[in-house]
Amino acid sequence: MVSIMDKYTYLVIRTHGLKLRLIKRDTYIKLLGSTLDEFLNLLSNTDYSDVIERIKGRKLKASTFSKAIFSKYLQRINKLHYYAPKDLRSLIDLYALGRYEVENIKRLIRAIAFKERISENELHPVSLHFSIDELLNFLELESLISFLEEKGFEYTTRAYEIYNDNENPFIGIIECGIDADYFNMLHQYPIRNNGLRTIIDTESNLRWLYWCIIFKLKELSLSMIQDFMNVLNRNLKKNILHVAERSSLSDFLSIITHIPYYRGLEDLLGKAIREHDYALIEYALLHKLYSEAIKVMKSNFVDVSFIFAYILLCEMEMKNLDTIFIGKKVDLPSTYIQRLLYLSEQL
Amino acid sequence: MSSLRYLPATTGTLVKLRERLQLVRRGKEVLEMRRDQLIKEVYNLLSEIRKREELEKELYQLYERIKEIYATIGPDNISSYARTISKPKIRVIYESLFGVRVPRVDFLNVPDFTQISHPAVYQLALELWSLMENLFKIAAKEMAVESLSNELAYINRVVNSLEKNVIPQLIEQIHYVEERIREESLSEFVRIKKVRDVIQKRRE
Repeated sequence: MVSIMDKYTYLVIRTHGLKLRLIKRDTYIKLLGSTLDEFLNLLSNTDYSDVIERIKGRKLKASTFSKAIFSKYLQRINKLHYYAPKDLRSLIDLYALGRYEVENIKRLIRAIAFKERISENELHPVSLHFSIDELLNFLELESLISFLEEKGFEYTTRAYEIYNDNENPFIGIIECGIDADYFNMLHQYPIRNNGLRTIIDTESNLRWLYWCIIFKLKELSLSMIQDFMNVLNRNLKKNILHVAERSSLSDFLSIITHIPYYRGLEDLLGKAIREHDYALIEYALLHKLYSEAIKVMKSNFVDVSFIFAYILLCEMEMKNLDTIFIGKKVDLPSTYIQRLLYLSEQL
Repeated sequence: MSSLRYLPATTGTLVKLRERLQLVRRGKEVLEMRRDQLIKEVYNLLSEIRKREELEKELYQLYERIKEIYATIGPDNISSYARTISKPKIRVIYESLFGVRVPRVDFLNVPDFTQISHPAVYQLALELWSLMENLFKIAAKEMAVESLSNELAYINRVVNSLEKNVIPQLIEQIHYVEERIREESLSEFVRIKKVRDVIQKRRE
C-alpha cells in the first residue's frame, strides 16, 4: 500500500489542486439564475475561461457549447495523463476517454444499421483505439464489427451475432455488447486499490441494472445477453439474472434495491417505472454513481481512487453545464433545470 | 335572359318562361338541400376539430418534457437515437364528400420506435407520434372544412343570385309576356269587332 502511495502521491496531490477548480454548488446556483449571456460571463470566471473565450460572441448552438465543454474535459484528462506514472496512464485514458469512444461506436452503429450517414461533428473527438476517420470509413455494419473484433471488442462481435440471429433484432443488444467490452477492458487491469475497484464496479453494476431495465421494458429475454451481463456485474450471484427474467420489473427493482450496490435507488427507480417517467432511470443511476465517487473521494483522501473519482466529477460537471446551457436555450425554468442537475453539498 | 325580351310575346314563349322558372325554383331547392347537408357535415367536422385545442395542450406539455430530455442528454444523442427510427410514409388522397374534393390522410408506414434503446426517448417518441398522427388527421379535417366552406360560399352565391336576380327577372318577364299577350288578344278582339262592324255595314 505504501509503495502504491509513493508512486501515485504526486498525481493525487495535483488532483486535489485540480479538484478545487471544479464548479461549486453556490456557483451552480448563480449559473442557474442567470441569463444565457450572464451564464457565459460567469463561466468565463471559472476554469472554463479559455474555452468560453473561444466561443463567446458567436451565436452559440447547443452542440458548439457541448464541444467546448468537452474540450475542457479533454484538457483535464490530458493533465492527469501528463502527471501520471506510466503504468497508470493507459488506465486513465481507458477510463476517461474509452467511455466516449464506445459512445462514438454506438452512434456510428445506430447510423450504419439504419442506412444513415453520420458526420465527424456528431462524434466525440476521442481516438483511443482507432481514429474517427477510420470509424467514419465504414458503411456496412458487418465490416465495422470485423474491424472492432480485430481491435479486441469480442463481446460486441458476439452481440452482433445474437442481433443477427434474432427474429426481432434490437440494436440495444449490440450496445450492451459494446458496454461489456468497455468494462471488460477495465476489469482486465490488475487493480488492487479498493476505492478504485469500488468506483469501476459501481459503474459497471449500474450499467448492468440499466440494461436489465431496458430489456425488461422492451419485454426481451435477458438470457440472450447473459454473457455480457455477467461481465457487467461480476459481484452478484449469477442467478440474479434469472430472478430478473422471471419477475416483473417492479418486483425485480424491489428485490435488487436490497443489494448494497443498488441501495438508495428504490424511490427514484420505483417512481420512474410507476409514472413512466423513464428519464429518471438514467438520472437515478448517474446520481448514485456520482454520489459513490464523492464518497470514495472523502474516504480515500490520498489514494489513487481519488483521481478516478475526480474524473467522474469532471464528467458530472460537464453534464451539468450542458444541461444548464441547453435548458436556458430552450427556455426551461431554472427550477426545472435544477431538478436535472447532479448537485452535491459535499463538493 | 334579356334575349327573351326580343322573343315574340306568344303563348309559346310564356310556356317556355314558366318552364324555366319552374326549373330554376327546383334547382334552387336542390341547392338549398345540398347547402343544408354541407352545413350538417361542417358541423360534424367542427366538433372533431375542436379536439385540436386539447391536442395542442398535450403537445405543449409533451414539448416541455422533450425539452428536459433534450437538455439532459444533448442534441447529438437525440439525433443519434432518431436515426434508428424508420421514417413514416404518409399519403394524402382526395375523396369526394357530397361532391366536394376533400383530403384524407393515409398512414402507409408508421414509424418503428422499437430500436430506440433510451427508455425516455422511446417513450417520448411514441407519445409524440401518437399526437402527430391525430394532428395530421385533424389537419385533413380542417382542410375538408375549408373546401366545404368554399363550396358553401359558392352555393350561397348561386342561391342568392337565383333568389334575388334570376327568379324575379323571370317572374317579371312572365308578367311582361302575359301583359303583352293580353294586350294583343284585346287588340285582336277589338280588330275583329271592327272588321265585323265594317262587314255588317257593307251588307246593309
